[in-house]
Amino acid sequence: MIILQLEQLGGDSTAIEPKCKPIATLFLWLTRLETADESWRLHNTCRQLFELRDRIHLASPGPAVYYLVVLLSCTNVNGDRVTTRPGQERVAGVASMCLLRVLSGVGPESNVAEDIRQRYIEDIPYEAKFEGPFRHIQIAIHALLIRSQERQSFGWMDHEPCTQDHASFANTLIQAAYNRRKHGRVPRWILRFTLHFLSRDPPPPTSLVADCLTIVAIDLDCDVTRVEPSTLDERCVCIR
Amino acid sequence: MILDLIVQELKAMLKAADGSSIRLKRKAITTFFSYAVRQERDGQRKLIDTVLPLFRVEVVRGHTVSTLPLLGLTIMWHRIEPLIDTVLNKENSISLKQVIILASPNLPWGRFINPRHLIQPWAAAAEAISYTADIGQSVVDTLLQIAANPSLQPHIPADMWSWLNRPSSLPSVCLGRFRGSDGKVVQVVRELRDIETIKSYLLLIWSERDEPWPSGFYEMRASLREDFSGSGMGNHRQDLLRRLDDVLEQLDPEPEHLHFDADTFQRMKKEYGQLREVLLDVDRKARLP
Repeated sequence: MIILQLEQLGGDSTAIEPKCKPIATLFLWLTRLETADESWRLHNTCRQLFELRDRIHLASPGPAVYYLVVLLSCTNVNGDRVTTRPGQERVAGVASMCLLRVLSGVGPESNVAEDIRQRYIEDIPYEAKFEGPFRHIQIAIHALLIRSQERQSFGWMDHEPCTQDHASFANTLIQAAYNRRKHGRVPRWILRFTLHFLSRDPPPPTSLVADCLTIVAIDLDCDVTRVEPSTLDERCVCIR
Repeated sequence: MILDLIVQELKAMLKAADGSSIRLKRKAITTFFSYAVRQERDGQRKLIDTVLPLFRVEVVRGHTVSTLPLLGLTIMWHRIEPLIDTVLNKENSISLKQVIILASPNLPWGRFINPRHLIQPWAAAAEAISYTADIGQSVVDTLLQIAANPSLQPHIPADMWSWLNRPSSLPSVCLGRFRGSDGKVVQVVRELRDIETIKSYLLLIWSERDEPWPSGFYEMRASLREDFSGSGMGNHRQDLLRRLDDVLEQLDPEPEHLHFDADTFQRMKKEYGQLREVLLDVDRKARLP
């Protein structure tokens, strides 16, 4: 019944907002049932709802803390080593991507970012070394939350995410670059990401090149909103 | 569309010749450079032609290199090393090597993690491409920067020093001239025991724009006394004297367009004046019967 109800919500975006907290709670509960087939269907539905909600109200990220709670519940911390609990990789991946989207959409001094930061630093060590398939997303979250030049020096040399992951991740970094530029400068680790991919041989997919060039344009103070006046979320770059 | 915006912005930066903006945006420019290099390899020259001139803008107009932190003057971001490595070691394209040679003065030669392996291919690339004034300037600028790094200097192929003898100048604000005036570099050049090369080096290094290192002045005085003595060196001494007179003339009165502090200015006048005295003294002794 829950699944059916959620699937119906998926078609009605205005109905999602008031249901965010129960959905997030459900999402959290799923982390314990990850391996069951039924729970995966439920999890997929939740993910669709979260992503839909992010597109609608990116600037008012209500359930951000829930994303963090879900992510932390999937995470093992052993000294500086941060890993994902076995069997919870998929939920961790979705929660971390949702959290990254929220963080990339708000300024570094916003209340949302500050609230998440306070909770985050209680669990994740400053010198965290991330491992696992979502390492790049966790690195990005860490860099956005930890205010330190030193911790901005992540490299991307061994970063090889799948194509689908590329598109979503790079697009989120555009948002982060845009928001950080408004409050100062595009972080070095984001520019390093673009350098890594723009100098790769063979070149990455055109969409990723476009995303990287957009980040370069943002740092150069180009008015990227002229390219596509609606949102930066949408693909809006043409490569000649 | 994004490319158009970037190209427009870079052209505006070039037109404004605003060195501080270029320095501030060096990471984005370096990132775009890496993309432009790849486009160049695919036969599209337009983007690289947009980026390269930025590297030749006087990054600190009105200032001298010695009065500024050096870090920001290496416009290229050191993270670009793998790309430089690939182009120099694995690519056969002459035009790509030319691009890297032109950009090489802006690489942080003193800060690469392990740039030794780049020196030989850099030298080979310089020899492989056609000589132009810009190429000569870039090679000499880079050569002097490499020579100033004690761990890199021994890896310079001996033939590369002959570039000092080719007709070239150095940019008005230039890391190579500043770093290359270190006493250890003067020593290395003197050890070549080639009077033309030593003279060319001194003519390039002496400038009203920058204060050579104190150790450099010490070695230069020794060079004038020991390398340029004797009656057969008269023409060389005249060339050197003309350059010193030119520098001293530029320093008197104090150039308004340069932001020297008072101490630096006085020190430079004194040091260049002493070099002139040494040279005149050597010349007097050489004329004695």
